[in-house]
Amino acid sequence: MQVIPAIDLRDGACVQLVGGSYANERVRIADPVGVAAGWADAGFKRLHVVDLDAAKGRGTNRETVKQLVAAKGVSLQCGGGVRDLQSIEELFAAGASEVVLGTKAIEDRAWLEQAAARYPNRLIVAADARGRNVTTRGWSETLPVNVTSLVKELNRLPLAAILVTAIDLEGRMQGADVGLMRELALLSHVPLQASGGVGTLADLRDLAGAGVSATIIGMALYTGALDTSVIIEEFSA
Amino acid sequence: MTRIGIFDYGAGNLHSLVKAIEGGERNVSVDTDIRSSLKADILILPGVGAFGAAVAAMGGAQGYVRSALADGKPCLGVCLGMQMLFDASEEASESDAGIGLIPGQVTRLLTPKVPHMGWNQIEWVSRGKRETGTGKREAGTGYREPGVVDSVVRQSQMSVAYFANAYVCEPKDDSPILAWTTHQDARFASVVRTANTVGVQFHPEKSSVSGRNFVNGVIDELLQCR
Repeated sequence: MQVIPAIDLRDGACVQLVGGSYANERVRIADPVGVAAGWADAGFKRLHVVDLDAAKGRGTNRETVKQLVAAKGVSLQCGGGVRDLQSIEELFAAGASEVVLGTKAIEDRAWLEQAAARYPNRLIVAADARGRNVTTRGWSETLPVNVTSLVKELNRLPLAAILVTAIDLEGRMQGADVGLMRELALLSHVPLQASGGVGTLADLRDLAGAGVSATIIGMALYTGALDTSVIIEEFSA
Repeated sequence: MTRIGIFDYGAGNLHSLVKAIEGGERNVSVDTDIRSSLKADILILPGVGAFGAAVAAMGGAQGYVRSALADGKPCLGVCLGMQMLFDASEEASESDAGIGLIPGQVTRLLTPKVPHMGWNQIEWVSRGKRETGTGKREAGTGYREPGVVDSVVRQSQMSVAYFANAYVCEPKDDSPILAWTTHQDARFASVVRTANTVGVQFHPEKSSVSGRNFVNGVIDELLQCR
């Protein structure tokens, strides 16, 4: 299993939120480009970059994203508020290896099919789950859609991966929803990326054992709860 | 009912692979004894874990497995399962011998980015000209019939696949290689075939619709070659 540091952007800074709540920000580092370089130096080969402002429809950190993409030696999967083909194209043109789609992909399946056909195996659909329900619009709307049904529906598309975030667990470092991730890893026909709740090496081992292809970690890295060298020694970076 | 035998060498989660290939007229069994798995119509060597532990789990049956495969027993090796078909691996000590069906070594990728994680291209060897097929058996390399397109290549619609590997197979010569893949400055064999054994370095069960169609097509094809 690959372990991927998260870089969540807000007002041009690198932040970490608790429980998907914009009101509950626990980490703020002014220099995201420096943060990205630090993770690259530590040995991570891939970063997960999310523009939280764009996801919420409150401005954009696109310029910062472009600077991050220019950082050498790491692949970046970039998302947050990507709702049209032009934005996808811009992120790829800037050097993103994959583009992460959320709300628009969930709400407009015809558009997602069109996008996936244009960029086969380069798009990641992010399914943010509150419990088992899919949420959209920066975690503000909970839909009557079960995340397992969504993953089944997405199986016929040529995606790069499906990323499932357990929002309620995010930033709490009290363990991942291993049961849900095991079920989804088995259902998915593409690699499953998991996010939310990882606080210990045991959490990472549980997710690897559940068949998860990659796990995105945030709070546990930024608070130092997880030692980067130990992660890189045991898992793929 | 077709019997598919998956050798479980204890390294972890085989459920995705089982789910990708089960269904219809297939009976998939997972067994920790490779001799039992070999009794099925086709043997599957899955791809999780490390070389040394995986071959050790064969309990010294490598020669027995090699003979069965060389005689035409259908087999599909996925990722580490492909690597197990070779003589030895840098990932393990020299005493941990592979099955040795395909002469060659498994070596560590020497690229800046290791492991090789993600989607990558499958470059099929001269589509339409590959000669291994279901014809007569030649010494050493299995079944060949010049001019016949390999049945695995013929049925494949696959051009990209999902990889997760730090080691690659280096056959002693190119004859078993059906496809190549390039990662940074390394080019390695991503699909090999000898007799009715096919090895794939990628994970077809995680390679979307085309990967799932591919793995099921290969299984059907190899069963027909028996």
